[in-house]
Amino acid sequence: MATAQVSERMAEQIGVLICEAREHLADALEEYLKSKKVDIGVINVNDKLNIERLFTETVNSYIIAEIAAMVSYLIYDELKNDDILKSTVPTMLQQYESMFERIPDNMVNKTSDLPDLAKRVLESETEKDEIVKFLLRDIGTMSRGNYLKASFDAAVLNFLGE
Amino acid sequence: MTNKWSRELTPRDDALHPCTVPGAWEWWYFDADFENGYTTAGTYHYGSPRPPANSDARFIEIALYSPEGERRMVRKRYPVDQCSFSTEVCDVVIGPNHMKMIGNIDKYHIYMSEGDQGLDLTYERLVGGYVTPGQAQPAEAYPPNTPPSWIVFQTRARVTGTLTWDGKTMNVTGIGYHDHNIESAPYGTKGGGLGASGYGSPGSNAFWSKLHAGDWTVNWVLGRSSRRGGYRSTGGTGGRVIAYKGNEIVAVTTRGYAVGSDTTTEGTGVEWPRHVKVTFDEPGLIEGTLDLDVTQQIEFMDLYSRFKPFQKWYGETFIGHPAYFRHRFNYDADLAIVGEKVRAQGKFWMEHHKFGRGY
Repeated sequence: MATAQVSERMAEQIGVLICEAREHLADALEEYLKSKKVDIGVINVNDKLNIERLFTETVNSYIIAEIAAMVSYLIYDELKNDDILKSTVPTMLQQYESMFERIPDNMVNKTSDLPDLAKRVLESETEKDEIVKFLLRDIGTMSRGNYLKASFDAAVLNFLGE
Repeated sequence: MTNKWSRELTPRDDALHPCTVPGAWEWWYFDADFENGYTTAGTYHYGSPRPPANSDARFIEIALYSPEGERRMVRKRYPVDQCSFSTEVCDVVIGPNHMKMIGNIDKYHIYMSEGDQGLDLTYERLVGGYVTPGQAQPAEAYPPNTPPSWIVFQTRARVTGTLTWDGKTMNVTGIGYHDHNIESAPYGTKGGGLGASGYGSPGSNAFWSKLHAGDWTVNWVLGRSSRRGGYRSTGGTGGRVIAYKGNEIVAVTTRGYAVGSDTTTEGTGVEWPRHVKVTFDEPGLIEGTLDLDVTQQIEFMDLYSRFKPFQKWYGETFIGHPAYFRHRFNYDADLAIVGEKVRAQGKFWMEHHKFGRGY
């Protein structure tokens, strides 16, 4: 696929992500307001902090790893440098995730099936590129604290046609 | 016929429309409902309508349904050199199977024979056709022209011939329909999604069917966008209602919507509605409702079935699960078309394109 087409496709995918994320944010906000069991009326400082937390968790769960995967794939497609996908960007994601006070439930749920999925694909007899095998093994050995990296790997595998 | 709603259709409109766009495809579609309770619906394909795009795909996909809802699906691909497509008239040959007009668009012969299943049908036009004005001059190549998307040649036809089910051939008579779809990309890949409808796409669902009520025929395709599309009706973005009295188009509108409810994943793993309420909403032309209660699901195609595992994961996480259904239903129609009351109840079926998440 030509670089311009890859770029166009990635740009469209950003829109897909934002739409999904905004729905999750609105749902989370609705749940939060329901849990207060009173008419929201005035939003106080605590409410603002909680809404900000919902925003952060939504962005962390549905946007960060995927946008990173899109940009990385675009650069990888142009430069054919495996390190971008294997270490440069994943390391940055791990460092960012290490700063989380708590892992959002959505992030855990979204990635929970990925190790088994990766193992199944890895064990299948279809021919795979070296980079695909690397990403599959990486997800297969995913441990707690690597949710962003797993999401990143999975999104890249999707863009690689897996 | 020509009037303000549709231009005159010619045999070339039903010919192959040459196109160089890699994802382009065409299909010639027909269906028929027979007096003995059997139904058939099928397509002759040039290019793949489902992702991944494949302009070399030549195949037929023809379903036969028994009155009880049993299905025999014939899906057979043939090499390019065993197929031919005229650019002058409808003369479609795919292996031993064909769809050909006889003289002009008033009459067609459709033939399929694969293993124990087959059909040999003649279609004679009772109610004419339709194309969106301004789209598709006859058989012009595209790009740069906009693909016409949907050309209806026989909204209602008398169908006679034979149907072969598990090797048993029966004479049949019934009512049929024939149209021709032309697109520049596989279903679900327009608007940005990888194999599914993309962000902002208004088409989370599209329902298509016909209403036969005495002298009235209504051909409609409507839906409603998902939450991400702002729950817009499909009016102006693909939805369309064409109403005929006798052989004359008397109303066309894009104003209306169809909303599914009472959903389930039974039998498919993908959500589908047990009830669909269709609302026609152009006062003075066509207004009122069609209530559809699904009685049988006779077709289900998983549009992710050919996707690889991580493509599925990504699609389901961010987009939803696109699928194609055919549902038989009981209907209750309460309409006013150009001021005349149209009430009808009965049984029929609809096509349901589910592009993303929600109803």
